Amino acid sequence: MGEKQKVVITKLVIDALKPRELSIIDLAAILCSIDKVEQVSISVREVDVKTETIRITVQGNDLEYPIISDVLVESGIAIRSIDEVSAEKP
Amino acid sequence: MSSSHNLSSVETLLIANRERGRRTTRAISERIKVLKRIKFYIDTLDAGGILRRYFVMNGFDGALAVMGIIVGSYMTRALNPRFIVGASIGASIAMAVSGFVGAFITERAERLREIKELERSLFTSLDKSVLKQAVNMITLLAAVIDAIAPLLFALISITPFVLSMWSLLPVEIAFYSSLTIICLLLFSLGALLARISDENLLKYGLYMLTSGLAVSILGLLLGGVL
Repeated sequence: MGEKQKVVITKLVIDALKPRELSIIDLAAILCSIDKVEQVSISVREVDVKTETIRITVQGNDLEYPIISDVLVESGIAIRSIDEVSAEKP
Repeated sequence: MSSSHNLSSVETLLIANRERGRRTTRAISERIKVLKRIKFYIDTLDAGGILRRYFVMNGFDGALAVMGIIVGSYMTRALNPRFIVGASIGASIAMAVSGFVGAFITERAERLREIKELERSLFTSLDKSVLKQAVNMITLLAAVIDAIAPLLFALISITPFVLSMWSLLPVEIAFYSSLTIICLLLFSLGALLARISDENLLKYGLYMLTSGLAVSILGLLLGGVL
């Protein structure tokens, strides 16, 4: 019988809405300090009076989405959708 | 809008790594020094300006209130150091309490209104977010500055009369020294504003000083008449 191999998430692309008060530089550093996150890139897609629509790309080894989403919520970010996921068997 | 701090301060920002189930929550806030966190909150809400305004306006009020008491005592030929120190401390405590309560309530109301508008724009609650924490901290900070500024300026202004109370300084010298200290404080406040706005130091210093001089000259003239 073959053993089940653990599948790890290596990339997440999240579409989110953020308040303009929070800088994407700060947000990138906050996300990058999470365990197992190795790389973060954030791009601003749309700018509104009070908010900005951003695309967050998080890469690492064995990413934990619940933790990432909790951190985003605590930073005042509203997650709209997960647009892309990469998973692999290490 | 905050965009001007470097990554070394950013790495100490408030973030919680929550782990579901058996693993424990590790909050980086335990490692954050209080001052760095306060700076982050001030930068995030762009609150530096309002805090500076509270400091200058209320420091101005404190200094001029003491000047009014001193000049009023002179006008009525009642230059009693004990009375002046007591009245000034009483007035500055009243200003501190009024400043704290007033600033706390008004800042909180304004900032919560902004948070609620943001929640409507984001379609999400910000109760657990760093923005709500920043609002709470900035509200408290504004209230504390609003309280401390008049108290500090008033206490500095009456120092010569405190010395006079202990018979270390003659009353007349305490009177003129106190007025001089108040004028210097007012000039310094003006200079601070000039520094902030990159304007002429002397001009702003003199603007503030003139207001103080107007009170003292008026008082001294009326004192001559009464």
